[in-house]
Amino acid sequence: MNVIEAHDVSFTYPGANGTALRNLDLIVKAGELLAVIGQNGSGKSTLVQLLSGLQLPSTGLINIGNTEVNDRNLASIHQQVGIVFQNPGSQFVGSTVAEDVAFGLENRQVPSDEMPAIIKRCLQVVDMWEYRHTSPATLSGGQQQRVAIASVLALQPKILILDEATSMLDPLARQQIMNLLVNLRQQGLTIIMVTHHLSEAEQADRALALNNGEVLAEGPVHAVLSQQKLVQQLELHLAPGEHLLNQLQQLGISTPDRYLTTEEAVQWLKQRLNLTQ
Amino acid sequence: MAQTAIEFNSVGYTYHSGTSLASSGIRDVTFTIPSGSFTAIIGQTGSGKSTLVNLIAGLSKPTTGEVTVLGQSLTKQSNKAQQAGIQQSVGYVFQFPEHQLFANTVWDDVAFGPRNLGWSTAKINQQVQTALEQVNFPTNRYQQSPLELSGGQQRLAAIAGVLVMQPQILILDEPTAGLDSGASQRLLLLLNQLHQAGVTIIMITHHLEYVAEHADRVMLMGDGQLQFAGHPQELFRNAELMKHNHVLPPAAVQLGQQLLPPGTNLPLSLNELAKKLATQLKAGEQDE
Repeated sequence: MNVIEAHDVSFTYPGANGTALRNLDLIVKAGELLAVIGQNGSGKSTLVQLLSGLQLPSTGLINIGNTEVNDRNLASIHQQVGIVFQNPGSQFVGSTVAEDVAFGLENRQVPSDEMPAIIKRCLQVVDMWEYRHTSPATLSGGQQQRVAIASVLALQPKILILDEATSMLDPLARQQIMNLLVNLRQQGLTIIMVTHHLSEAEQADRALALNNGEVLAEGPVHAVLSQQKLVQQLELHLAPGEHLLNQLQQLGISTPDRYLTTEEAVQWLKQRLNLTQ
Repeated sequence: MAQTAIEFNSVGYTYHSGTSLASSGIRDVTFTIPSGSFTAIIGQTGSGKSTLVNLIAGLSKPTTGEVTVLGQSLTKQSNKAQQAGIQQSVGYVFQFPEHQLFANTVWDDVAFGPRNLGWSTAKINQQVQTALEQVNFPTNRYQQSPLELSGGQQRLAAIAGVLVMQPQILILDEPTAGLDSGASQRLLLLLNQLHQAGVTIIMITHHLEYVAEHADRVMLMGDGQLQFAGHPQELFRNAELMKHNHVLPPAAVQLGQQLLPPGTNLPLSLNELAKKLATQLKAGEQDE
């Protein structure tokens, strides 16, 4: 089932000289984890804004489920699409973690006797239930981002979009968020993740590469990431394994011509070094 | 001997001091930072890194102890004028500084600080030009609205707005967050150039690869206290201390542990690791 269908979508910011996004076609299937990659200014954030109804296409058509993204359907779009941004601090409103999750539910007029169960379930999913009475301001960045995800999940979106949601987190917190996303995907949630990091993109099912407002490549993640020139052009932060293999290649060692995740790269190198039994 | 740019003497800072909400930001922190050094500050979120640099920048006064920045001292008793003195000699690039761009054009945004200081128009124009050139900002976009720029360009414009004041000390809080790899490398190159020119650089970062490659000193904060101050190599080889403070070693160290024989001196950068592995792989080929 397609949860997102975009046909020939273009977008120009009011008063801007150039188009931010041109002739985009995109289909996202239910339960997919899609990585959106590209340089700063390539149109990634514009795409996020269009898919979530924060901006409307200048031309072209976007459907979320059976709902067309237009100014009459915004309430329905906001209900179906949840977003987590780069800076978690800017999204907090409650004085405790639990209140923060409750805020969105109150806005949706969820009956108050149903709220405690929803709050508990969502905070447990992100492993933050024990912090329910804590002020969000005193949490670490990774914990804040997990609460932000819980607040969005509480509203039961069909699609979760993360716009560089890990970019200000330390590597450990980054890994925890990625593990959480992989779990949520396994439970059937559709996830779109904007990232500059190959170590995150490589865990997706599919990748959409944007360049200068246009689609440069789209497909299964390993097929997209195996195009070395493309990866270079996008100026992604290489995953450590890929970085190491690139360096080895430059030093005259022949390496596999398809993309290897860091784990696969270590296994491949172990074999070459005769470190495996 | 290098002059001291910054000195902390048993410095503590408590948020909401004297109220029931009082919570400790940092405790009993003592260190010096030599003039012209490139210091990285690392540690988990909430470990006290931002509290520390707010004190260096004169944005807050210590609750206990004494902070000295470029010879100007700051204690609990100091007045606003003393705080302002420090603020003027320290440039501070906040997290996501582009959120603070507000003028109609890039040029006006960078010129805002100098105009407030009442410099002559000629001097302002010259300094703004220099600052934008320093960050390699595309000349054809000086008159564009900051809102029309890409995230990377906005970041550069915001940094130019700090550099235009010609600070002797430059603090940057996660300056590469959200930038693609190319923009990150260009920004680090700029910091290296400023470092070469004698500016004291203090950078909060989670990227230990950057620390290994660029910083000559590193300070590790944990639980509001200074856990380590010294050379990056020394810290990265202290796995126990890193683990205790929830900091992952650089990727090269993690991979090196899996790929190099036990007891090998682990390289800190992936490029060095690749060289070691290439030598081994080539030796292996000759044996066969």
